[in-house]
Amino acid sequence: MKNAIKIALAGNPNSGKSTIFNKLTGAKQTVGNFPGVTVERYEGRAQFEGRSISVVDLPGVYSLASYSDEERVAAEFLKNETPDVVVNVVDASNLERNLYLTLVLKEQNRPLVVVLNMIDVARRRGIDVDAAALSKELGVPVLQTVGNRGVGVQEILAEVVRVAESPNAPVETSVAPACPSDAAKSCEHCGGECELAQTAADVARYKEIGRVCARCVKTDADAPASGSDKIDAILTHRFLGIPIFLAAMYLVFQLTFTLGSYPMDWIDAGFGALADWVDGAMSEGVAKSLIIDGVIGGVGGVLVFLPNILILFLAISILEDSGYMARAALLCDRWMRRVGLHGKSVVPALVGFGCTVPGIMAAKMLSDRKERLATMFVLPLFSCGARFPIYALLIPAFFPLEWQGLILWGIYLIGILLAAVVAKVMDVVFKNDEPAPFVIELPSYHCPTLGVVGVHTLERGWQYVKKAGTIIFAISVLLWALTTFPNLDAETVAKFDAERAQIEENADQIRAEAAARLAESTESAESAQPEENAESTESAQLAENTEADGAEVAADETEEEADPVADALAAVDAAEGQAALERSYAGRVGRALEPMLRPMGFDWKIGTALIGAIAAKEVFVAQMGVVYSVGEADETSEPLAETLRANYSPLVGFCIMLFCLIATPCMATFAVMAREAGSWKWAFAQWFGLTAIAWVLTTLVYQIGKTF
Amino acid sequence: MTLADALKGQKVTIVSMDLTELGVNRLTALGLTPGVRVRVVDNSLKDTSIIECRGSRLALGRGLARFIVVK
Repeated sequence: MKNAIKIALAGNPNSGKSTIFNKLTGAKQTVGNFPGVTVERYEGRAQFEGRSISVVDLPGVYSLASYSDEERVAAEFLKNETPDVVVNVVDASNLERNLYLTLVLKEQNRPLVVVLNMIDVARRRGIDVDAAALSKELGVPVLQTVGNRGVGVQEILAEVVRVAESPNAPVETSVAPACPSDAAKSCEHCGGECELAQTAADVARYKEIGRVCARCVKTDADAPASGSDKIDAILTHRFLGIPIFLAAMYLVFQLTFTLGSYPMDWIDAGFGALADWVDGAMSEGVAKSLIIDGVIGGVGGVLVFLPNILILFLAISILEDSGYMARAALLCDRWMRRVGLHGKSVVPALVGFGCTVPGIMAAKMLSDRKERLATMFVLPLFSCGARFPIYALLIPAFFPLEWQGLILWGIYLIGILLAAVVAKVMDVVFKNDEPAPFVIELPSYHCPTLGVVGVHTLERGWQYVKKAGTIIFAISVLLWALTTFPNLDAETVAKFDAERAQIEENADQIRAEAAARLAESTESAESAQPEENAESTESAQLAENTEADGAEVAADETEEEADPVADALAAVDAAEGQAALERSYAGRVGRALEPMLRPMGFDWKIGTALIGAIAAKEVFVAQMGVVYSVGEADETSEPLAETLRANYSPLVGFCIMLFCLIATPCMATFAVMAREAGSWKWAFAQWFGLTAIAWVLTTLVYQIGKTF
Repeated sequence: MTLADALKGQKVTIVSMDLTELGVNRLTALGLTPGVRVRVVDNSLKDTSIIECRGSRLALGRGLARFIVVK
């Protein structure tokens, strides 16, 4: 007698298999991927009378014919990992179709237990299945369950143990049905391999199913039809369907990013406070810089996405579990198909406008591998929220107010069009002879079960932290090192220290001088005084600026009167930061890359900032602040906008945005892409592919634009 | 007549499926075989037919429905 039993759950999609899995294993689950593919592998443990039973939840499939990753994975698992018992979960309200897989599984010659699930739904629809008769006809044990209420779930374990202990015990059968694949073997031409033979086998299977159903299923014709007809009449309506879908997605989107912004702010603030505390507690040095900028920044960068991911997956799980997602897919399929994507690709794409990382994770819902990879590949082209600060800095810096909206809209549109083009090219290059036929099941609508939805959401969140998190963390430490080392030499540091010391020594004199200057300039500028409390950063940035105005904005953050001494000290700090970055590896790489950057109209300073943007897009703005030594900078920083305006043309400004839109997906995207695509190859292909496209396109725009 | 021409609410029987092996096998696993009765739930969408067959509801692209002969 073996002590540990291994069972596999198999069944059609929407048969309630995941619910049964949850009831069997509780929260003790692990999620992994089947080797080489992105099909999720859920594994858990159940206990029955002291016996430990390991349960693998196979992906939902209609057959084992290897037409999709899911089917291949399920077939290979049954063949290679030889579970002691296969538990086939069958939707009792949809027996005829579900029994096809049952017959296919029977032909695998593994001990089989059939679980008639959702018998309550079946009864409501007037379908009565005689389990005892079914067991006799099929020749395997048949149990009845109502998965979402846990009815009959313990009995599954008891039966599994019984079957595992006596795998050869015969089940009482009335007729030993001929194996349908025998029909295939009788094919004269090939002995079971050809198309004709497969069709013969399928016809035999359905004949057998018809015979079994005739004996075991009683259907009450007067029973009320399911409500799906009426709901579908509205949700898949030819005119109403799309607006309803867009509204639903808008809701998901809003929920993800508005509701998510609170915990994100807490996480941000928490890590900020931690950094401040370390700042005070540690003495200056490399170790402190590593902990604050490398470690705390890195871990924070990972966790800050977590609220978005959790909320998004909760929403998507609910949409999927309720049955709506299949309807949405069929509505959007028409447009997505034109560029070789699937109807469901529209969901990750929309999510991608918020953040590429959860978008790529959402691409899981696509079952065709090619469609999933193409969707993930083009996702960074849907301009994410982190790129917005770059636009918010550059657009007002270079373009007049009446152009700003148009430019922003244009950038987003360029991204979408480019995504369509890239997807289409991938479609042409990678497609085999025929497109996957569009056929999906529209499951009956039902209320999502919190258990399934919740457990899956939490598991995915944890997986993100564990797998992607470690990579993001490693890259962020690496980028920290690139921008920090080699340090400034002692001589330069001493020079800056001396400058600071001098300013502090002459503090009183500087203050007096500044006060005198201020009095003078106030007098002269009194009539043309701009509003002091310009709240709108846009109007502030666009206003014709005097020097005094710039100082005002800079002082805005502390909301104190400008202290000329602090200003002077900050200027020295900024100059030191600039010198350090220039000397660092990032600065050197930026310089080394200059010949590559020139055709796009970029100099080494932009190049260095772009290296920072590899970590996260929004870092570009802060890095630009450092290279131009304007000190701490964000997108509302007027001195930085001023400096950029003085140094670059609007064409270069546009080119920067174009390049940031397309090139170098951020490290979180890189890490998640590697994980979700199942190989580093895809992450590298995406990173370098998009960067190459960005280079070519930006160069074209710059070179053509320059001639006007 | 093909499935793409059938009207909403009509009940038809599949005669044959002039599709590639991949297409036929996909449809077979979902319950569509010659001889089976199919109820057309909605055919008004531009590129998709919604049908009911063997107790489950399916959405088929026009590219498939046009090649399924029914009576």
